[in-house]
Amino acid sequence: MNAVRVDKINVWYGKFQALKDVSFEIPTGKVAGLLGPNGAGKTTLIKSMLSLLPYKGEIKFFGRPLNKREVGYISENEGLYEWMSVEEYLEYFSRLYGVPTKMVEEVIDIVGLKENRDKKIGSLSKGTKRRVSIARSIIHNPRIIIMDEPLSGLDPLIKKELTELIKKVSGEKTFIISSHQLRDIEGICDWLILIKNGEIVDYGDPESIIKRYRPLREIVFTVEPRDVEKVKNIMDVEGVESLEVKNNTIIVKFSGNSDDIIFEALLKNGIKFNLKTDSLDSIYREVFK
Amino acid sequence: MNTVIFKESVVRSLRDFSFFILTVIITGINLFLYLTYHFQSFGIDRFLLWLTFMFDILVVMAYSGYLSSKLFIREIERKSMEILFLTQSGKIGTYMQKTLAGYFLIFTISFIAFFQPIVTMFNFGTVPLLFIYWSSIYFLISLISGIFVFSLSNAVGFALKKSIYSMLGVSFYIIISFFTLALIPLQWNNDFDIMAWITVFPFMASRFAFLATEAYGTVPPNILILAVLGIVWIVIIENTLWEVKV
Repeated sequence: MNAVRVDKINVWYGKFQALKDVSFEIPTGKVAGLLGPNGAGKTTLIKSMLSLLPYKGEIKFFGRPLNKREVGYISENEGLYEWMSVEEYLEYFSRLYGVPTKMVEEVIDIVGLKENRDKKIGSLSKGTKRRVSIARSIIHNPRIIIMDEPLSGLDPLIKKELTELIKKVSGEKTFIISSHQLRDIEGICDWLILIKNGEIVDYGDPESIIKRYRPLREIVFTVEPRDVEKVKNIMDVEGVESLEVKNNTIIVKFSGNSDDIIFEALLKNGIKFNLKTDSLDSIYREVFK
Repeated sequence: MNTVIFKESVVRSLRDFSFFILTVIITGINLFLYLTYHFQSFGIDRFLLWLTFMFDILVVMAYSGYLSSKLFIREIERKSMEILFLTQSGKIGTYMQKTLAGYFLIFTISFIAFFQPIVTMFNFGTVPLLFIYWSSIYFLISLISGIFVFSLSNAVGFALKKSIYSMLGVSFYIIISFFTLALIPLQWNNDFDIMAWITVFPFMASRFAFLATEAYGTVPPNILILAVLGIVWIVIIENTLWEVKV
């Protein structure tokens, strides 16, 4: 069953159309990355999904309209109450959601805020504040958690810690994590939604997206210097359009699904190679250039 | 109904330093005026009550403007309002609880102002009728004007791109204009009872029209709302302060 189904969503800011016929699905239990450059419409899409913005179209969560109990949300600016202590803040939200205050203890434990529970939120570091936001978003045990740029503006170490935390709390939950940096989310996402200029470019699991974009791409790999000539000879396979050699680095441009044939030819001839760029990163550059 | 947001807003605002300062200011200014007046004249009269009343109204209105920014606009700018919308209270529940919290606080501060005439009466010893009349007027007018500024500031804040700075700027401009209005009758202070409303009303109405175009120039429907509220306000003042013989 799909956790989220978005069908032909259109959003206008005055005369400017921010989202154009946006449609996609997210299966239950996936950690979905909503990826796109700044101004692509990520925040608008998230706010529409949460009914914070008026939209035309249909959005369903588990086949039903939005049920606030089922959704946890972390906005780009956390919107924390800086004058409250961590515990007071979480207690406040537990009462707002109508869940037992014992959940506060549980959540503080899960998110790793034990040492900071009595500290005022205003005195906490940016990374710890994000932890508080995550704690708030899971306090009512939602089935879907939507995070708008949760990792932006953090140093790499904190990003890693928070990524681990997201993995830890994900479990059976469905996550939607928006980002303009693929690097931030590629390690945790098993579903991707690519958005550009208010339109969905593609969505699906990362492997299938790579496969779909391979015709547009190139394979870059290095070989032993003695194998360069050998590679030139065997690259006369179907789909290979050009071959460029720079020292011992070989760039093969191809169309169709020839990548499997290329790798097979290399392996058959006993050529050892190191693939340099064959990740989502190059697709990201290709799609959003 | 879940009243968590209401409680939090009230408790937080009561704990805020401004509420304490406000109480001190109201009491302090009034005592200062009473005593100053006492040493310069021979007891209580309408002019003293009018003067203290106007200062109190000014303070209550200023607080109402501040309160609206605190309960709504700052929360919107901090983006925490969106998170409240996604709780069980929802959008309408959140707005309602915040508005009720604002009204409750304005009621409280008006109630504090209500006691000011008592101080006067006990200090200067006057007839009970005066106390009842002025206390009621204090309470009603400060409450109504406080709620008026609270609502007006919110409307302006939402209309003008939710900016706290523009909102406060406009609301304080309105407050100051009100204060100016309030002081106008002072020039007739010796003759309150015989002052014809027809002399004051056109002037006040023109001031309201001016305010309406200044503050709401970009939002035409609100000009009407402001005009109606302004007229109601004027009528209340006209019929309670000027027409009643004390």
